[in-house]
Amino acid sequence: MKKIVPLILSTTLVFLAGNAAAQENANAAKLANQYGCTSCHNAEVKLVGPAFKSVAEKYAGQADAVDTLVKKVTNGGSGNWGRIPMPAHPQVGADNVKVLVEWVLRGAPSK
Amino acid sequence: MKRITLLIASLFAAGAITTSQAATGVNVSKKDIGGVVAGPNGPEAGVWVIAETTDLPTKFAKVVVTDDKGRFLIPDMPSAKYQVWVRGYGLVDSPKVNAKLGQQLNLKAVIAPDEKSAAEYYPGMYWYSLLEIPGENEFPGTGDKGNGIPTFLKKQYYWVDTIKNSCQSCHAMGSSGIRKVPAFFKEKAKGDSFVAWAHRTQAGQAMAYMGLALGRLGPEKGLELFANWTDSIEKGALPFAKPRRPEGIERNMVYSSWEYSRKNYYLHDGSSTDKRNPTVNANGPFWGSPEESTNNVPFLDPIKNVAGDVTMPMLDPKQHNQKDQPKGPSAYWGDEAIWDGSNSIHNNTLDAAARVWFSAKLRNPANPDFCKAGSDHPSAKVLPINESIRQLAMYDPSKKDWSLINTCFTTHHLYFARDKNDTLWTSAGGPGFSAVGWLNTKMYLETKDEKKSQGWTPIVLDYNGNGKRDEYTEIGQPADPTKDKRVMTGFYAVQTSPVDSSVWGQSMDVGFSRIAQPGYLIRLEPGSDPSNTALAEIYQAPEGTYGLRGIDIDSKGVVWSVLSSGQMVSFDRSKCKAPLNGPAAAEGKHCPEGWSTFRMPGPQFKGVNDPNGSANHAYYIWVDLDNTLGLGKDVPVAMANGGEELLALVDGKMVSLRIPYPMGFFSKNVDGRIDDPKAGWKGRGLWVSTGTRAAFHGEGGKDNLPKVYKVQIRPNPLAN
Repeated sequence: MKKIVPLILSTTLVFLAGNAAAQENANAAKLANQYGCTSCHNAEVKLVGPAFKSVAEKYAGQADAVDTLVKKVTNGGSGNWGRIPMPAHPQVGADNVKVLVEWVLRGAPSK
Repeated sequence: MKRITLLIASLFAAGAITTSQAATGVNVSKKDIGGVVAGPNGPEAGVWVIAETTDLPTKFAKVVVTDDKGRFLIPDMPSAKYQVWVRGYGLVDSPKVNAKLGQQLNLKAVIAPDEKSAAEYYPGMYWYSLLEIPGENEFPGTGDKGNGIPTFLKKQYYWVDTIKNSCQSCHAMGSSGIRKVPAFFKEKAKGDSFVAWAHRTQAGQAMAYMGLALGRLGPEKGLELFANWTDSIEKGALPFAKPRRPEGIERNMVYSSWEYSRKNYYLHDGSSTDKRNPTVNANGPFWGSPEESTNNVPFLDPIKNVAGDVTMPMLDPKQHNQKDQPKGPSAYWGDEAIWDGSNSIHNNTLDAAARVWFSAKLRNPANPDFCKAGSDHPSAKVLPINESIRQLAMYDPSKKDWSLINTCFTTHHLYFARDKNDTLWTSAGGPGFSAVGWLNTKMYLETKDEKKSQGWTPIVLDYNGNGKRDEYTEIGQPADPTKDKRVMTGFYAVQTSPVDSSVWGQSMDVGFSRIAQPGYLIRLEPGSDPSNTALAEIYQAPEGTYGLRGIDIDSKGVVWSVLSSGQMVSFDRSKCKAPLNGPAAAEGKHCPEGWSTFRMPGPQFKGVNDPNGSANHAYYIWVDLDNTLGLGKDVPVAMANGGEELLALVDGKMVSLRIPYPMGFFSKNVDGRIDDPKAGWKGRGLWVSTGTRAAFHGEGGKDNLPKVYKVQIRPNPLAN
């Protein structure tokens, strides 16, 4: 019995954590749609801009990745992904941009 | 004396003097302006004379064409002072002269000093045809790591369909504001034309839509070719073809235009009457549909020359507003968010009581429960629908009252049936919305029960050919010869037949839908219980053509459409020889004998080897069932935006009704109304709204407000 209780607890925690992550991903995906990100970006393939997964790979392991990308999304940028510039998106707001960037760096999972 | 001398001198300097009927042979009444246009080589035939005034409550202009002796008569003008000038192919605009009603004018045409100056007045397609189209050998595309063309663009015509049915869905391609890149973007791009084009496609609140269209073309390839196009024009490239001046009956046209709405908004289209009875709303207001730009529905009273608007409410005030759209800085508007709409008011049509019915977005997409699985709604039992993008709204001008109708199905275009229920049939947009919805408006008006009054059906072919709807295979499933077959052919256009109970639709080809299947005409026979009995037939456009868009039906039941391959086209189902149902009919290739094609005038794109088509492109088509225009009963009229014209097919010949002022004319639908059946040509006319999303790309820039045009045909160029 002593062994079963920790097992149930840990399973429940994993399940709750999974649910929370899924909710975060769903919220971020909704934001991406709401603010038009998905008109130019796709998780898997390049459209007008790079695939979100390509962005995640490029910035994997970089400690300042979130800050760097938050600035890029907010203020716009160019030069890293070909000749088409990334337009500025000041209307999205800092908090939402951070949610979006963290989601992109996770590979933009749908769930 | 000095004053008189100066006055005479200034009149001569302006190129105009008053003259007399004896001199011109033009019979000018107190409500007209007439006269003669001549240049250094004598009378100028087939040129436009434009009269404009700002004296009225809304800016008004009237345009006519000179006859073979250079004579003109602008008839039936509202009382005002006018500025009058001459425009025509081979000319540049003459100086504007002041004129009053009843005057006879000698107008001096100004010959264009060079080809470049003359070409400034050519319709957009003469410039757009200079755009390089990737060669046939570049298809299928090899993707962003290959030739930059997406792999889903399998043939060259996919590309052409895209630069027409994506780009030209909203923009007057080739018009001055498009073929010239504003300095604002060039400076932002430090002179790099490719980057300048990237910035201009990111400008304003349409950024996301533009991103979608670019993604369809392959963004690098698309931007490169558009940048090359405008660079070459900047360096002096000129159209390789020239338009002809109006001839014959084209010179009998009279255009009137009024400004309405506001300069920061745009219109999709509008309506003046009930298509089933064009005497409805006689002399009444024209109603516009402002799509994404605003919830303020504009109207024009053409009798009082007054424009106004009424605001459409919404079911959910928290729904997405265009102000929240991502946007880049605009060369015209800076950082201003010029659109403030949330209702996406796409189309309207009038009923027999002149109530105005709209397809509009009233809420966010999630449908009410009665639309979904588990509902007892008869249509939901057949096809549950979880989301809809647009619904229906109705405005009753006599009561100044709105009704908002929460439909489960998505709406796009809408037309009434000639049945006892005044059924309002709707299309949905892209082929993916594979359901057709309707509203029993008689029941709705009597009960206001939106749930009971609406219905919808999947689009199902009679695949087993037994004449009735049976169990069917779903979209994407292998066909089963013992069952029927549901197909992904959501209606873009919709029209009810004037000769039987069928409802016709049209689904979009690859350039609009990005779905690797052709566009279709679809005939839907609703049956006694449409959700359970409706059966469809599908028909592909003739071999060698592509890009069906828009439909209307003539009084003999012949369906008319336009093609992005550059033709007007008709389909007569009664000519079909093969069985119309069964497995052999499931591809829609079973009735080639039903089609007739008519090439739209204009040059072909450089690099497109198809002499049967042209670079002209029409957004939609309308059939004049009641000879409201004056070119005859059943004459089809295409909104041929490449030619900045309405294009009528009369006895097998194209008649171009070019709207020359302001340049950049672009429309998405028309209708015809009879205000007074006893008044001859004066009592009838065709009504059309500006339809471009960016009127500021046209002549006049930001001061070019959306307009309502009335187009009439008189017996001769001097009739009043």
